[in-house]
Amino acid sequence: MRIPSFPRSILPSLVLILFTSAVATAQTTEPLDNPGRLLASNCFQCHGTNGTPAAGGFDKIAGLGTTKIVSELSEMRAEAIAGSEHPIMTVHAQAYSLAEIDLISRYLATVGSVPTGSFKLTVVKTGTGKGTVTSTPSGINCGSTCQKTYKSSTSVTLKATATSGSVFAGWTGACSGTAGTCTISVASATTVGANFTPTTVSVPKDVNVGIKLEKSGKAYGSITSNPTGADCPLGCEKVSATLPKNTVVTLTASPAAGRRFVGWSGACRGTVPACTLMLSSPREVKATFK
Amino acid sequence: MDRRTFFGMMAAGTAGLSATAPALDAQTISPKKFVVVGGGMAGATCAKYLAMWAKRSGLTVEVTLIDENARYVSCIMSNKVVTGERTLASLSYGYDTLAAKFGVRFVNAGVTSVDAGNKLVTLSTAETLTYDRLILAPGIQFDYSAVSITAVGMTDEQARAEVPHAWKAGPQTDALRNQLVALSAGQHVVVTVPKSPYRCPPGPYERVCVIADWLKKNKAGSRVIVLDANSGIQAEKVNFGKAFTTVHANIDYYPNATVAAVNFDAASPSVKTVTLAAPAARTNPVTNEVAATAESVFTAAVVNLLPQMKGGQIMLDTLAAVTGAIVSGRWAKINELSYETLVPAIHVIGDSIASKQPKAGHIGNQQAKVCADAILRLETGLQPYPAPVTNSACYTPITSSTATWLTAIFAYNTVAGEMQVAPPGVIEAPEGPTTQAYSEMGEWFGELMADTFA
Repeated sequence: MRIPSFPRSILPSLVLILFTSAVATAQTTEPLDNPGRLLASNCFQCHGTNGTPAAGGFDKIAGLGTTKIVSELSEMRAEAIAGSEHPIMTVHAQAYSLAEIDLISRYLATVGSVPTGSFKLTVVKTGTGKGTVTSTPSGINCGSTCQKTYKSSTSVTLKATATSGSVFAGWTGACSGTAGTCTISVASATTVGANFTPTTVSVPKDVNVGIKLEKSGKAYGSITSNPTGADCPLGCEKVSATLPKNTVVTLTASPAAGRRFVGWSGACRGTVPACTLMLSSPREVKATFK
Repeated sequence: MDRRTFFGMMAAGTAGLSATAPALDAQTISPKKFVVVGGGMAGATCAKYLAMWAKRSGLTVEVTLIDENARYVSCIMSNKVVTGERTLASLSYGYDTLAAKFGVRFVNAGVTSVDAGNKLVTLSTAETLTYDRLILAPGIQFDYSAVSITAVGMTDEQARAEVPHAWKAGPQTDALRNQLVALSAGQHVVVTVPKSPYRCPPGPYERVCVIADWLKKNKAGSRVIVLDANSGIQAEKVNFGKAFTTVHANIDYYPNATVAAVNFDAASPSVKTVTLAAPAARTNPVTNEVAATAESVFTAAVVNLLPQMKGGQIMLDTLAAVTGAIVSGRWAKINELSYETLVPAIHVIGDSIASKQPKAGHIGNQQAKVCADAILRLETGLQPYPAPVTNSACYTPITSSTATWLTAIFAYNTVAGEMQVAPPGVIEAPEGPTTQAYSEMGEWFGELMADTFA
């Protein structure tokens, strides 16, 4: 196992969420040939484009989770059309195979996660010092308000102000440098770290944290880790590694030819092949291939 | 390594990993150009989903939507304009949202010609557009060749306008409304039903119901005479049968009644004579009891004449050169996995296609999604999804406070190579007309239009 070595001086700045799951999603895309997407689009005429109704008369079906969709549609498959509380849905449920319902449910579970027009800007204060970050246009005063949703491509200027006894040590994430302000265009879910350090610098303890990776379908796909450490190539079933505390790790699942990545569980969630997490505490991740 | 280098590496690393996803291989291809002709239910949906799904899959595409009208006026719910419950303005939809949200470019122009060999579309504005895929969604046009409409003191054009179809929502819808308002109590209304297939199978029967409902309340003694060129009610047979005989007592239904001629005098347009090609007998659509004598001449003040229909002219012109590309001289032959015609890279969706799927806005919206999905796959070297599903659903008002519904799911049959009705089949509301369905109708309409235009 290889533990990457970083100059000690930058370790405090790693105390930031570099790629949150939302950022990872924005940079990953839906496969073009997802049959669940095409099948589920039959639902959008009444339940809204991508499963969220425009007016709300019919149910929102995006993000419900696969179990809920499958169980509701399964119930409808078993009931009589006449006398049903929702006879049109009953007809539709009965026209799909269970395999199709499974595909639909899996697409609907994740459809809401791809950004379409507005994006969240998140400020994370890092370091052991104190300070505030404010935004122009207004919305962020972090302080207590550290998140704001902006329309795509909004230009936002962030300003960092250290409180007495601290200094602003620099930006991380979508901003960089040590100037007091940073201007970014919010074109995807974005996280910016602002590092405040006490005027008296204390050297942090170098602590390692464990990550355990388990694979279901060990011959059906591989997991690569960036930085390396928690890699689990074809044939590997389990791997555990330790990395410096608060390291941001991106795990990427790649199915073997003719196989499919089903999804993550544990510290990673969803079906997007790339998962990014921060090792602020020990993590366990499971990946399933079929 | 300084901080900036480290972040640079992270960003590059992530991008590199994402590139292993199959969809992203296509990102390196220059933007594909998709031109959609016709901004109705199918065309607008296709433009939206081409742009939206391309974006969600990381593809850059250029989608242009062309229509000669700046706004679309919905046929769905337009029978409520006939009864004065809605206005055309309330059924009117623009394309600004598709442009703002999805980057669809809307061009308000007609299409003068399509050059399939060079993949060029020429517009009435003289602009030419190149395309990688052309999607035609021109809807229907009316075929008056089998009916003679003559009025003393009027041109053929004026005479036709005096017997409005009101089957494309617009000025004719208001014209029909105005004729009903002007009707003297006791005068009758003829509604004709063309030979199937035509746009919106339950539509003519729905119109008969809402006109009958309105006449009962506003024009005592007036009746609706239904002259149906088909052998029976074409959709929602049970519910419309009951509506014609039980809910409304002012409807006379004539199956096998093909209109050959309508004659009147411009000086007295409230006396119109409708002549059938062959005599037809009044029939009870529930009991099938047939009147003893057949009739062939009817007199009415208002004639809502629905002529036979065929696919839009741009479709017929574009496909004319290829043997077998047009079915029965009226509809586009298409591969229902991709809606591609016999002319490569030209697709047809919506009411202009030859299909077992009905010609209607709700299912046109879904055909558009199947077409968009197939095009995005084909343009990135993949095959269309081999088992597409579409659905038809509609609510139909029976009175001003009740409605019924009809739904069916269509699935691709690999053996037959076409979309066919999937079990449990074509189902109409077993509970008959209800006020609950009437209120759901408004929700359905709002969501369907949002899925198409917003």
